[in-house]
Amino acid sequence: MYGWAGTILRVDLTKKKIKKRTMPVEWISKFIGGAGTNAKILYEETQPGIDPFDSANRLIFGAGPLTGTLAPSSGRYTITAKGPFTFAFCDSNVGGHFGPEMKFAGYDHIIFQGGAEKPLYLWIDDDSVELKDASHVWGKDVWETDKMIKEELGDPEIKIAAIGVPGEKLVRYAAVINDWARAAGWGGMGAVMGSKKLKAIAIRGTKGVQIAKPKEFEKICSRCREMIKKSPKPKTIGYYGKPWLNWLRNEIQRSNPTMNYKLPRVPSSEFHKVGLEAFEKLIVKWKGCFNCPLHCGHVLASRSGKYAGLVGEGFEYNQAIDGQMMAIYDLNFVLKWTIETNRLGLDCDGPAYAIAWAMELYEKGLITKKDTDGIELTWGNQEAALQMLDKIARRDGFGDLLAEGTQLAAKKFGKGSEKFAYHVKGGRMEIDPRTGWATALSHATSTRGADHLKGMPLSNAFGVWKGIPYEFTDDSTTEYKAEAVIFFENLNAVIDSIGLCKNDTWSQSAECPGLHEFVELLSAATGKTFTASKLLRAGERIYNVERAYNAREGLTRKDDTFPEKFFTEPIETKIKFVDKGIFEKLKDEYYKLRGWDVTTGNPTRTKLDELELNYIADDLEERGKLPPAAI
Amino acid sequence: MSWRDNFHENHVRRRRSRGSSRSQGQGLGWGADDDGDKWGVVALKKKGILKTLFTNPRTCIGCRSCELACSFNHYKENNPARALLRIIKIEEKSLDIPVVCRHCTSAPCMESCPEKSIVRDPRTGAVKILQDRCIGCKICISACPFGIIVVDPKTHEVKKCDLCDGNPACAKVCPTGAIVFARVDVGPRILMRSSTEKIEKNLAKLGGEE
Repeated sequence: MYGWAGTILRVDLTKKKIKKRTMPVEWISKFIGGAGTNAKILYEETQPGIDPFDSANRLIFGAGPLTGTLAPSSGRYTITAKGPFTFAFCDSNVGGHFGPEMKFAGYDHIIFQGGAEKPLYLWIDDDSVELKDASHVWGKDVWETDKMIKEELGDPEIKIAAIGVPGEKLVRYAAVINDWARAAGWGGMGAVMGSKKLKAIAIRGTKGVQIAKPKEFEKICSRCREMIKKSPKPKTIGYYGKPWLNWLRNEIQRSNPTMNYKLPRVPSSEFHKVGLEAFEKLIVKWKGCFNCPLHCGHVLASRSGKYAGLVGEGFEYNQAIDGQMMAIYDLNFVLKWTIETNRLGLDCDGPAYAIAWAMELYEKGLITKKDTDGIELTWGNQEAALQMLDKIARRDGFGDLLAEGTQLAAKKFGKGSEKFAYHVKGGRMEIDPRTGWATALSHATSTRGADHLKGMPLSNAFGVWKGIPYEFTDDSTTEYKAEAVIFFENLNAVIDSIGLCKNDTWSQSAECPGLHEFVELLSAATGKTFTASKLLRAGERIYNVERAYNAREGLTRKDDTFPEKFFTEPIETKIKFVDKGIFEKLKDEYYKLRGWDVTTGNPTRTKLDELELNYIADDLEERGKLPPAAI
Repeated sequence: MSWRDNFHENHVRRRRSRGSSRSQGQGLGWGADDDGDKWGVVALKKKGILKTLFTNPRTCIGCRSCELACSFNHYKENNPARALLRIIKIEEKSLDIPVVCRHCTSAPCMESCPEKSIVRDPRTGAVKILQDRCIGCKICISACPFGIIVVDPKTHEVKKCDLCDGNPACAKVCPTGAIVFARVDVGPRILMRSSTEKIEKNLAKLGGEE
């Protein structure tokens, strides 16, 4: 097979059985691969209502047809499972070198089912696959696990994805970390992995990815590289990395989550401490994922203050916000936070948002030192934040509550603390929806909780595609916004499924490779015919599967909303706050354009039939979740 | 002293110092000629085409595009495991170090080969293995000070960098100039230039706003 490796690996952890099957042609023509096929597998193999930590949940690793190829930034793969804090469809897309190695070993997808009694790790050496005992690394952090397994297997170049103690202890936002610093952060995939007692996956692949038309493929790849080089991306993301977005959001868009949304953005008096100039001083060198010409990662060094001498693979947009959320305006701390979360195996944001929530409660007097095991959770307290991080990782004392994530922690804690827990469908909010209408709509409707990587327009690609003037930064009107969000949702589903990165494709820059280039890349790589509209159609199909999964779980239109605060409290942006009337109208437009039922927001039979997803329509109907046919 | 240094001392250095009686690739038109151009570089120098690979670990981002491009150019498949160069990653220290064949002027691999199957390509200056003469003894792997000679995981043949016939894919694809293909005398100057970036920036600041 060209492009795809052609094999799906199924690992039953309960029975310790390993099965291989050839990738059915129908799957790839309908779902492409990667995140798309993952979503399909999750829908078909799980029942609604299961606990995410139940052995009936699946943990699916999936790489796309372009993962591991010469196509620029082809290091991405996706992990999919029912999410531990959204209790709905959840996936997490990661870079690094692990995904390509999966393909080199000959596997497109690895499906884990059941749950082991004793800790295990999976060792894939091309065709030979075995489950090995992991009791000696159980309880170790990610980096130590990585070192020990490499030593045990006797090859320092093996690629490993592992969980740390938080994953073992089922901290709901535990991450799967590969290559020491590449995290599948969102969604708590590490906790699902921990619930299955799977400590790590180690891969060595020497089979490579075959290409149908090598000469053509090479040409298109160099053309894509040229496009990326000429785009504005290398000067922004390629130099500053994602902290550039922090500057953009704070200074240009004037909305940036700070102090658990108490402040609309970082105050100007503090921003110089976390701005680009401060960041630039930390840079030692740049780092990139597999085959990436853009390199948004850095090696950073702290040169002054408490953490002087600390060197490590550095942070991006999210971690920069993490500091702000806890009112810590110090990039040296952010570096420390990043390195600690990577080592521990935690998502960087999860604990920060939970601690920020607790800090607000502490300020309001809803919790005291007694609740927090003597830790003074005052705003900006770096020591307290790091101590709490350690407690969360071990689910110790108050950390046990925070390890549930803000939504569940607030529900458990009660006492009016729910008011300060800001989330959509259980997913914390990393971008303020009051930025604009497309931002608000995409965050509300995203299938995995408030999320900017599913459908938030981050480039002008929609205008290029439709041939209309469209400026994504102008987010103050609702014109075209519903259509744009749908376009980006479908486009991002395609990008996650073919195995490329969103940073240097249409998703985030219209000057970078887009649908037309994807078509050429895929056609040359796989030898099959693709068209741009067929790709977008596949994206739509994938997004409908994700939505149908959530519909089956009982989520409806009423879940596509925000906490009250965002509807009432104005900030400095053009739209000031999310006006409920306009917002609901925009949602109406969105569901209509999607072909979904406006009352429930769920996919209709007409739409599902059109996308050749009849069996999903039947399944929804059987469970009484299919909206009645339109009259 | 490790066994490898030992080996190097005993087998390679000693032979080199007393000079090999069999000069490289006699009568084949490869490398050496009769005016004592033992390493085959004098002829190349005359033509002015002696180019080789230079690396700069400071700018290497560890993306392994070079490994991928190398395997693609040689085998038309995406397979870094078969690449003829490596980015060594030292995760503890966040280091990425490109290891490429230096195409040494007095090449230990050439010297150590019992079958004289490693020769210098008179066109490109590359030190390369003549596969049909190679017996697969792997002695060159031990002799190479950089360990850059590899055993192909698919065919189990001994393989090494051949500079892609004078147009190395790794240098072409490197996005940050961490691998540079340049004339032996120009290469060092290119690296020199890239090291002055920081100084440039500081000077610009001095002359500018501050």
